[in-house]
Amino acid sequence: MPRADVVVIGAGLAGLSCAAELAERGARVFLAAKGMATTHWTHGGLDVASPAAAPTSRDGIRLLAAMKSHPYRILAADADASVAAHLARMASEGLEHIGSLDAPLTGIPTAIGSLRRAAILPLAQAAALGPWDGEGLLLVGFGRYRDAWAPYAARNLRHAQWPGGPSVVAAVEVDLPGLERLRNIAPHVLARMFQDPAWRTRALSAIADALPAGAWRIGLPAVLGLDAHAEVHADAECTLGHRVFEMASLPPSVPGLRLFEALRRRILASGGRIQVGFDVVEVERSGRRVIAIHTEAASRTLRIGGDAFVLATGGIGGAGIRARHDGTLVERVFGLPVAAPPRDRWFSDDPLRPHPLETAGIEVTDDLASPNLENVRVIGSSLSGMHYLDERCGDGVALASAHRAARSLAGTKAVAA
Amino acid sequence: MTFHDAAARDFPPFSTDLCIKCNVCTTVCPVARVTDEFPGPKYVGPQAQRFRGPGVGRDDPDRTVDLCSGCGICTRACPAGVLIAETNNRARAAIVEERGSSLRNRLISDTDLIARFGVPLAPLTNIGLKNPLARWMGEKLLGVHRRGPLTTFARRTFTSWWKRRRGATALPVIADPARTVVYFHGCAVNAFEPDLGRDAVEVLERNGFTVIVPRQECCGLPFISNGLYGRARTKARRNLSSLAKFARAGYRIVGTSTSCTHALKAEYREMLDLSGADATAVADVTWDICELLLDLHDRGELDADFAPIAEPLLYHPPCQLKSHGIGTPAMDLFALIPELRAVDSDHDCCGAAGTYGLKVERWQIAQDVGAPLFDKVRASGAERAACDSETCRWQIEQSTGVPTVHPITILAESYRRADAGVGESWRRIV
Amino acid sequence: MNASAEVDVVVIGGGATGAGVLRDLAMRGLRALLVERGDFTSGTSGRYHGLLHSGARYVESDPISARHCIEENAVLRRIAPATIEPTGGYFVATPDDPDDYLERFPAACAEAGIEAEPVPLDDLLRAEPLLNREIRAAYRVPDASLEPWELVDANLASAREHGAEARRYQAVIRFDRSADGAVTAVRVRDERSGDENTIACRAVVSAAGAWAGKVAELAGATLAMSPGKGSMLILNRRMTTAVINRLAPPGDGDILVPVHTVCILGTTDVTVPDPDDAHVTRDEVDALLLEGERLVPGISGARVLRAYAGSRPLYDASDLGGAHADESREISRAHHVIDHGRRDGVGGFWSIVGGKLTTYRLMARDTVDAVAASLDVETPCRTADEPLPSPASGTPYWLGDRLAALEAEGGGNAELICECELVTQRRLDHALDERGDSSLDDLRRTTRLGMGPCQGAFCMPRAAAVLDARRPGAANASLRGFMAERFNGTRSIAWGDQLAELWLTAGIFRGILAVGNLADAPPEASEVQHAAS
Repeated sequence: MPRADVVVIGAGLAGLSCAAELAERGARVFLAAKGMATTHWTHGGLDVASPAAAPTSRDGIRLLAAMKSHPYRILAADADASVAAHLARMASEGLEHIGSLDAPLTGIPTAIGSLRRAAILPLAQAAALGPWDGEGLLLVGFGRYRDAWAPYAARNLRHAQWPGGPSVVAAVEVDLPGLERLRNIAPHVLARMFQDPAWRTRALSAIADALPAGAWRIGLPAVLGLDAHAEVHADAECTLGHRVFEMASLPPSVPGLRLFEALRRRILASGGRIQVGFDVVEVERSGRRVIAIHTEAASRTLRIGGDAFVLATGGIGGAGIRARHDGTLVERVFGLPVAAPPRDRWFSDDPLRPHPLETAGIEVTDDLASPNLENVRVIGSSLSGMHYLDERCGDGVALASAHRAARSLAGTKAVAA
Repeated sequence: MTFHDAAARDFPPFSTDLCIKCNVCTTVCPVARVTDEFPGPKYVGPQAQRFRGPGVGRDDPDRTVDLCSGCGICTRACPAGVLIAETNNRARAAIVEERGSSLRNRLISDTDLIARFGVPLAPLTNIGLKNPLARWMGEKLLGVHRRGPLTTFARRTFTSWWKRRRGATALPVIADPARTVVYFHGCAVNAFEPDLGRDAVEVLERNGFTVIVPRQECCGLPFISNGLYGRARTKARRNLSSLAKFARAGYRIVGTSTSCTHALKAEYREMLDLSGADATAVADVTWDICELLLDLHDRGELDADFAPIAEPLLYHPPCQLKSHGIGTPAMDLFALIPELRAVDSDHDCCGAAGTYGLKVERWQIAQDVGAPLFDKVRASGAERAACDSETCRWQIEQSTGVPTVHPITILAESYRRADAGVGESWRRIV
Repeated sequence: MNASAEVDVVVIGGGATGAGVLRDLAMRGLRALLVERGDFTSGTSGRYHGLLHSGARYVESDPISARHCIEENAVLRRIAPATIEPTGGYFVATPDDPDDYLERFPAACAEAGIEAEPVPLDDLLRAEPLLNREIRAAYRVPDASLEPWELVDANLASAREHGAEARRYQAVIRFDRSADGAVTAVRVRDERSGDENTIACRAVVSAAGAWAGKVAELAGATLAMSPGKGSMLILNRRMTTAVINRLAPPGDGDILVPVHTVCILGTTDVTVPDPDDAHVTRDEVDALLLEGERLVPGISGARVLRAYAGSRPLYDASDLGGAHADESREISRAHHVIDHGRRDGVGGFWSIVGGKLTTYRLMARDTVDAVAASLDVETPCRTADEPLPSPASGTPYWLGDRLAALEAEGGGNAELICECELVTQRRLDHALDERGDSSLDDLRRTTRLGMGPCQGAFCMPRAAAVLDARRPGAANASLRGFMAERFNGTRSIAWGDQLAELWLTAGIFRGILAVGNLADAPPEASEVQHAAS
């Protein structure tokens, strides 16, 4: 029966990062997750904080931290260290990033042709950042690939307010070899195909043939490999002779798959345990302490004992918090009370505007501890008080809270190199 | 089945309501990874399920769901809790009910029948299993791939060995449930790997257990996997009627096949809808042998006198083990054996998936699914690999040439070395 | 397109009745033009529960309607089998239902000519295992599930074959009348371009259903409509294979209809003066689920995809007293053809009100009988004799249609734009070939795009790109409109799985794609107050 110093529940960015850091710090950590979710639904960039009017993420953090109930109020001090640790961790697993908290937040093109603000991106998305040096933007779609919309996006971008953007926006659709015969085409399918050097050569050659003359930066669908991603991206830039960046689209997110795999490997390499498909169905308590969780096993449960527990189940989006039809919100593992606006004020009228319900979550002490259970900490989007989509702060809060929790739970043990 | 019952979401096709269409399952599916023919678990599972139903005189609409190997990795990965593989299997059963099943499928699922002829005629039948011409004919006539992962029949069944040994087969008059277990050997141990059964008995007896081997049949999982629910229920009912009395008396049922034990723990109720008291009683007391031994160890009751086995070992957790939801107890047990360098394969599926990898039209898929694992096994330098499920062992061994054993065999060996080498280590001290 | 026109008859309203009237007019040799202010079938015809009535529901309360229903039920199965799924229906008596109703039911059905076969309870529960095990009696009737969009399309196609024309997105803004008050022309505004046109005519038929009162007003006539809003819930799965009705006087939440991949639990009945009010309240949702529990215990735990409402085109016959003002259900469902020439001095203007979608053809016949006679045309009605054109003339619809077709070609997702409802690129292209000016919502109506569990989360952007290729520049507005429409249907049922789906949708649209920032939208403006403390 497993026993750990810390049991982390949830395998999103927060849970995975927390488990990785705990393991690096020498704690015995067990990560149990019901499934894989939020990492597979991201665009791959790091949203630390970009509320309107904030020129950098650091300014964004400062603005959000000034809000009464925002998680950054207690986490702002952890932002630098947590982001640095994350980027170092990613780099060690072959996923380099560029950017920092002080880099200016600029508009990068999305797959549908809008602009979203970013400052810290995986290397493979970096070429999307301004300033543009007179180059044009060439969006590339693939025939029969449903999740890239190059001509549509190009039309939208041409009408966008894009200061310092490309000189021209063009689109081209390329038929990649063999795609006309495939019955199943999806982002991860293409990503695996791009890892086959023989096919990749033919595919890049087909794209190269379709390139108009001129100085371009090329926006490709985010399918440039999985494990061999760095190699695939480098090969693409080399063959095409222009800077290339990936454009994230509908889930499943290939950048997200890479992120998940990198963190998973890191946890295992640092001696942690991670089990997906472990759904917590019971909690064993002794007074105000949790002594074990039970995950669903065939015909019984599996008891996982721990000294401390970290709830990283992702709020409503991650299915850590569920709404009943009578409007009550339930935190599904520990039954912690959920702070939320009253039901008749859950939604705004416009689906593109933030909904008050998005701030629903668990209220915690300054040390991220839940008020009722003394050895349970809450991290990530289970925390109340933020509009993680509108403020683009979800990743930053995930990392900062994961770091804070790991630091305090693993004591002063140094991070294993 | 009322919606109330189904609403507990234990009824697989109703769990499809939970699907948020995120496609995470499709990214982890080993079959979709290697063949374009299979659209993936989301498509054939929760997505297609909404289009299935009584067709007012029409054909079952499904075709591609038959490519699902039933590994269950999709169900593990789903963040919403959809029972995807289980839904797929039910869809396959619906196809079988409407269109019937091939002779080949019915035959290769009937392991008891195969054993009834295979073992007594063992020298002959084994020639058939090993002879390339015979296998070629088997492929052409039956559809069993000539290189499908099969092993050879034993000369004598496990049960006949047990009988010779005068082992207990019935409910004891006086016994301590805490120190008595029922051994569910499964058809693989009985007909193909009786030595594994002997190792299991040895390990259990060494740890103070009295072992009972009651009347039992194939657990029926091959029938379930092939959608032959009627035949599966026949096997299930017979097993339950034999095992339930032990369960009610508080005896645990232990198995060395993660497939058999999963059938007893979960699939009788979840797939075959056998919801009576017998099924629940048996499920509640069924344990995988490594699960049981680890539990003993947690209580401080496991004989930890393991002799060193200084070798690298590549361990592959079978998909059926993952469905148990108990982690990898074998790895925790290996950690108790000094100098054993056991490494988890960290690979999703070996490809065999029970009878799936035998079928001529699925063999290549099975090989492609397992290929990265086979590479790891070969590259590990290990002289042996270990795996808790029989068809996985045969697949790995056949495709890599590396002998593959059940973890219990390693433990039994370590115990035997400890017994034999007591003098040895004493001599070393001196 | 010839903007102005001169025809014999202008038909206002592109739902089932209007389309049926158009077809009947055309088949009798009259030159006719239909105008619809929105998309065809976007009014009540597109917002009901999809039931092809046997009429058994009305045997007590409205026997005339009941008889009409059973007769037309048979006709439609003959002329448009592909729009109908022959699910059959049951009337069941739950413990809460009155004994006397149950006792009178068989005789009342017999009198209306409706075959109601008693069903042994064992058989019922075997066929429909999710039904309330405490049901005490059941009858099988020839209810069925109907596909309104295809039915309307088929009627319009038939009308076109016979020389008529139908135009959508044309709103009637004015009637021209002669000195003696007769209608001489109808003036319409194109809702997309803003252009206005005049259509000269000899007669006008208003088949505007719940909006008939407004149209009549424009013509200078009066028509007291009492629109009854009916709200419905769409559940993610079929709970039953047949239609289920309660053996009780018609009330809230007493019908469960399997429709394509979902089932619909309905309805409520609230008198709402504005037929455009399609807002579903939480009370209505709760009421529906509460009643639904009596049919399928546990249904409140099922996944609800959306809630929507339609406006019943009920005509408040003037001799009904004020006491019945709130109970629109009590008003007769029978249809009325109103000659406004005789009633209001507006010659050549007719309204057809009341009725049910099931009886649309009969309503059309009665209307066209009157109109044709007034124009001295004596050709009899043949709409029951001639089958509607394909695809409606094909074999009956069945649930596994799309999956079987896909699987027959080897399966796979490469061609699927909407994965939930198996809408292929080809199907979308075909819909756009037929009507190139379609919006995403229009495409939804004819293809089921976005009508599955994800409610468009994945297919909306894909479809927008497809639309952009056909109608450059139109996609963004269409996308936003589609999103808003999907969201409106989700708000009142946003709990459990569907709330999780909504959050994933938000993550895609606002997180990954930043749809709110699309070019002709206001630039990103956070709603959150950032005042420094």
